[in-house]
Amino acid sequence: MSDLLPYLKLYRRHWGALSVGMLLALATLLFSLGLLALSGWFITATALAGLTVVTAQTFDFFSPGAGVRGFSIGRTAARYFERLVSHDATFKLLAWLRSWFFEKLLPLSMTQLKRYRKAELLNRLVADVDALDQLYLRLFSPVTAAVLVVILLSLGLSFFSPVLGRGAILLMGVWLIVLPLMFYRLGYKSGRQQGKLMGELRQKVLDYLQGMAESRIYGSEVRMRERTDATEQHLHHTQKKMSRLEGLGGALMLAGAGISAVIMLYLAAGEYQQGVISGPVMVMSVFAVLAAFEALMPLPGAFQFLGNTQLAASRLTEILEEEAIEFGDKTLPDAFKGQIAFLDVYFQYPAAAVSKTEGPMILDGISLDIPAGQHLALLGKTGCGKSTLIRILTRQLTGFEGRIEVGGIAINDYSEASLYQLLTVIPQQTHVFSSTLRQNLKMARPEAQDSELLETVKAVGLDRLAAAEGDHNLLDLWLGQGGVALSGGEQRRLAIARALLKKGEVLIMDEASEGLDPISEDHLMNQILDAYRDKTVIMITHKKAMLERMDRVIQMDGGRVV
Amino acid sequence: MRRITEKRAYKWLIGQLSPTQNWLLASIILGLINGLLFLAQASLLAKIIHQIVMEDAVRASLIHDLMLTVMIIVLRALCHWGREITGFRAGLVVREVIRGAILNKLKALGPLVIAEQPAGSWSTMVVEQVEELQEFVARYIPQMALAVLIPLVILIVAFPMNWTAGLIFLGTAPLIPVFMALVGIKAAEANRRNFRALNRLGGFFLDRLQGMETLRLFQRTRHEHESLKTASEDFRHKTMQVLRLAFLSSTVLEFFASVSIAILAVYLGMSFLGYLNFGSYGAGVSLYSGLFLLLLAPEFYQPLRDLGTHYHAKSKAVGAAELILETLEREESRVHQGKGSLAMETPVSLNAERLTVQGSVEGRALLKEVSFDIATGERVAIIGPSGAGKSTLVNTLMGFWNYQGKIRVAGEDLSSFSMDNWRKRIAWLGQQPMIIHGTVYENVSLGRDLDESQVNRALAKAQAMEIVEQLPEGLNALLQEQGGNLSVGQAQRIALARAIAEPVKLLILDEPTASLDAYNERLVLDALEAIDPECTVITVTHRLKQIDSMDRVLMLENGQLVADGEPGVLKRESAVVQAFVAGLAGSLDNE
Repeated sequence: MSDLLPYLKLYRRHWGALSVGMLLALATLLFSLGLLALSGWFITATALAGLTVVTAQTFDFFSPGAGVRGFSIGRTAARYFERLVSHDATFKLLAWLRSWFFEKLLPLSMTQLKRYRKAELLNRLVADVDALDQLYLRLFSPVTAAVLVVILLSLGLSFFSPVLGRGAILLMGVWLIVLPLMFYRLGYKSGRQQGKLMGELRQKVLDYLQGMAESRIYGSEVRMRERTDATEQHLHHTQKKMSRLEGLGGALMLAGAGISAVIMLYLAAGEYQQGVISGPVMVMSVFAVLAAFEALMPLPGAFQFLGNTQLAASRLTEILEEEAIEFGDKTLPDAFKGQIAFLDVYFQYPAAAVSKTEGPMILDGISLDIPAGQHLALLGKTGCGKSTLIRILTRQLTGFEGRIEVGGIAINDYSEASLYQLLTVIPQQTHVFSSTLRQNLKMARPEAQDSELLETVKAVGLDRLAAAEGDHNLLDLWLGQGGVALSGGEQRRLAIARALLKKGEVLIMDEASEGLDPISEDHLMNQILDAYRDKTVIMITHKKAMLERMDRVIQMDGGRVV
Repeated sequence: MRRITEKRAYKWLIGQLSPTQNWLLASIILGLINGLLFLAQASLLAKIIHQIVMEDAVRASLIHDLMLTVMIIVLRALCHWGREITGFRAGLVVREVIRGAILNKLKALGPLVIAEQPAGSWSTMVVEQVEELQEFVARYIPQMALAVLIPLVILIVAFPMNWTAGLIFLGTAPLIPVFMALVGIKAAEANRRNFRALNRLGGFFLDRLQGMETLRLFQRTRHEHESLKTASEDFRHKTMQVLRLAFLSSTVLEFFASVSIAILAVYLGMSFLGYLNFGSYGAGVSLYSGLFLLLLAPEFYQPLRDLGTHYHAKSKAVGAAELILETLEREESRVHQGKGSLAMETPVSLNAERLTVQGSVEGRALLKEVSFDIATGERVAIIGPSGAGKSTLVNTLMGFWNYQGKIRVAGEDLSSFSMDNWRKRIAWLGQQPMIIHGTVYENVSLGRDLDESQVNRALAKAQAMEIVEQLPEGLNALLQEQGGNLSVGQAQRIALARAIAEPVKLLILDEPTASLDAYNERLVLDALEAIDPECTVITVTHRLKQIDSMDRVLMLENGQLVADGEPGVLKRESAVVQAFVAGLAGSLDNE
């Protein structure tokens, strides 16, 4: 349970809406219970009164009649508002959880988060966050409502007869405590296994599909398919167990409700025959217990899947506990010059959990002085460490040894805002946000006017997109998911446009012209280098043609400058 | 591709239920028995109370009836359990069949079509979308039958006992189809909106998580954090407006359920008191019948209310079905093949005559009338700009594309062979190594019957032994892709071991060293040097050094063969090759 505690605490912020939701849920249950119990009382009381003409004529049927009508209207209204309030609260909670999680992720180093970059893992992350909001709807609210219903009903009944009050709390209390515990324990293992197997099936299906060409060539497609099918069978087996449990939970609840009502009837009949309670009250107490079990119904299911939710919570905690990047508080000096110095920089990835051996030295003692305004090209084969060098400079990777200075100040001492104000990066992969072209550009310069954006769009040749999309304002064009998918070359252009708009003090390009045809490449590189003529530029490239434009060329191999 | 409408997707889903009819029927029957047993339970309870209150029966004399009630309750619980299990089995069968159908379809579509989309989107369909069908089959479908049957049974029981009570039920009964439609249309709409809003919100969140690095570099994290909040608020407002109305429809149902209890209670009370004197066929209302009818009232509406709560299962299932159906209805092109087989030891020479391959976009040929000869044991480079048809050519040779024209293998028509047999003669290594989630052994054998010594020999030949030696579990160590315990170069050497584990007559390499660093590139090329000289090797490449070491070069451009000859000769005499090679020399990878 300790996995969930930090997340349960989060609910405090929304206690207002959440408790209104819970109160309405409780009211719905109580009205529903009251309706059936009062109707039972009413029918029995009138049946008894109707035996003689005198009692029949003096019987006050107005108040109970009004009560019955009141409960029925009250139940309808309470149910309606309960649904509204709880949905509203869920939306709020979900929004809040996501934004909270986003905020928590911000200061984390991308080194650790790198493994979450794969879309599938991110999807799971989002699902895990969502699982936490189910805690309220599926667990918190029903448990609270059930406990309160049981307590209120028992108190109400003991007003008529202590025996019945005690009987109710015992009968329902046992169910309230035993079933959740039992189903938590029973569901724990299978629930976790089910989650694990689902991931495994996804993996096996991916293996089968991605490896289809190969397995076809090696004549083992059938075997690969069997691997998938075996995992599917395994998953189904676990699901069968879970569904048997779910059925058992429902069955036990149903039996509990019925048997409790029978026992209540037996107890109440005794009290009635001893003259402690009247006949109508006897019927009322039986009907009340029968109806009260509605409140307990959701409990076994909720606890059966609790193990899964815990797993989600512990996975999230694991991420949140990772090391945060610490930024300093230095701002840009007034007379800032973009000289960059690397002094004996070493870097290696932390030991991988599986192979237990430390990774090789990615950077093996780099010392490099780049005067302000120099345009530097960085060359080297794949894996020579040039991208790592850049990721360290931009603080996307942490944990290097040595010293890196920009403008005479160690990069670790800069405040986050200052560092990224001075660095402009065109990364290897451009992220296109699912948003308008305007928003995708404006992130580089929030105060930019449309005219300026359009100019930049034209300059990088993204105005071609207009032809595909008709006449409406090009800047309103929706990109990314649910919109226009940009080709690799167009993504590059977008990244270059962003860099043109931002104009930092230092420009860093990681294979910025990959995927562009030679003519556009020439044109775009001229533009960007022109815009950053007086600034420091570091460029990773594979193209010889680029080198002629640079002031200096550095070759790297095996994590060293050669 | 045809757009799949919701209606058609629903129809298709219903059509998928036939293999699971029996489970569904069992689930419905158990639900119905449960309903009938409830009638018995209600009747017994009413009878016991009647005897205590009206006939002053002693508690002890009622033990028999009380025990009988408990027995009925236990039976009901068993029915409920059984219903849950049979429903689950029904869903299981449907999922198994549909998952199998999708995988078979993907198999028929072949690896080239699969590669058109990110593999993750396929696996989401095969795993998650199929799971979405479970609740629909297991709960919604049986509940649909019960929502009609149980109220009907209650009416049949109620009418002979008291026609007024029957009328109170029936008065709302014609509304049941209306409710069904209301719950159906309105709740569906609400559900759809609800889910769409949630999905869009989820998409927004995911998108910003993926782009977090970019956001940070542009110092936009705070801003996006704020817009995440505003977007969520916005979605909440819009969705709640719709839900406010949509919830009303199910509230109507709730209202009738509550009000019919109230009317029934008042009617019965007034009858007992003598104010009302109709409904019971002149026999007068007894406490027994009054209580019995009262207990039936909530149960009359319960099945419908349950149906409403399962409604989201339907919209999820239909949404999933739309996507699944879209894939299942894709056209597949079958590669012509015969039954012939090529003897193990036959050396492979290749001859292509006017080979033409049509792309999936109509009218665009990927290869146009390409003709060439490749002799046994020849080392051939295929070069050309990207999109020239190089990969199409090797994929066609491996039997993954339909083609026009002729391909002859050792003098015989390729289409006369069974593709399974032909592919046994080939090994292939692509640009991106494919590593499955499994051990080193599983990765090298890939489902073939190889013993450990064969695997070890292959690893040694592929210069991959050192990788295995580093892993404490050796051949049984689990391999993890990118970012796990393997670099791309190491992964490629494992993939190479897979390719050369069994002797073959044709080795096809598609830019095998394009994503490798210098060290791994050398190891892979060294390993390839040692290949059996009788084995024909075709390499798609951009590396000058590799081109120079070949016996022959075929150059493609726009799907046409523009040069064919020895590398030295072509470099001297062919203008297209000269231009292309000059371009390659501009890339620093070739230094």
